[in-house]
Amino acid sequence: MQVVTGKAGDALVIVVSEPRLDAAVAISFKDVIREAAGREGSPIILDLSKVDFLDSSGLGAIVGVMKMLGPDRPMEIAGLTPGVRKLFRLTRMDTVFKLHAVAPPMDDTAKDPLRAAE
Amino acid sequence: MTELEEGDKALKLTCAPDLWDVRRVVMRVERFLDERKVVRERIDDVNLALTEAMTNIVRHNSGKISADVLLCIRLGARHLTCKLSDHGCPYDPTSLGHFAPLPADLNEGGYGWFLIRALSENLEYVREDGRNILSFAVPLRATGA
Repeated sequence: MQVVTGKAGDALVIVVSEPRLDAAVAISFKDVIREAAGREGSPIILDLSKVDFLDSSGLGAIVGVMKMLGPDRPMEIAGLTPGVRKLFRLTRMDTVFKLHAVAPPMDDTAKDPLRAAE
Repeated sequence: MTELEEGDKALKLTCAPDLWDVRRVVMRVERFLDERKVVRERIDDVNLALTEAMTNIVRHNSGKISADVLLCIRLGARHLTCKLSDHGCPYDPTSLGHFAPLPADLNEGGYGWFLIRALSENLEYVREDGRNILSFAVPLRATGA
């Protein structure tokens, strides 16, 4: 499970570099995002443009991360691929999260990869 | 994953009681459908319905020895029929998944059977000779949900 993070204005962009977010990786996903989010108060944009497949366990992990971050650190989601978009639509989670077609470009070129054991 | 049989219109596999093996099996089915020119959108549907069903079964059987799941799929003109059998404890989904959890409740689970029902038709479950047998058919129409 790997993510790349960078700032885009006030927001922290977290790019999930994993083609499948399913039950096999849901727990390590939560841990990696918690670590990537850090303690800063910035809002978060979760970039899922590299995720081709998301199941209900992956969705549950995303909801869990949002709840863990709390209302002071809103999390928005960018770059839904077609299958992932369908899951958000069927579960009506597209009414809960603010969705963006693409993530805003990151400010700096030096991105910070984070990796966790699977 | 053990591959038992591959035909032009059918595939038979076993899945170990392990979430990584669920992934392997689903990706194998994906390749089977891709080679037979099923459109991407419908492969996504099969992927999701099968992952949800097999994840449920594997979690239900967690810790049990020799709890392999047998998957048989059959490619028809309009549907992909999926049949999953295992020797685990009974799980009757008849009353489950008829409604999605309310989005505002921010549930972290409880979507699985709802998604299987949303993506498939003719969901049936029987308990027979100590086995659970689950079957459903995923429509393969080129457009629409």
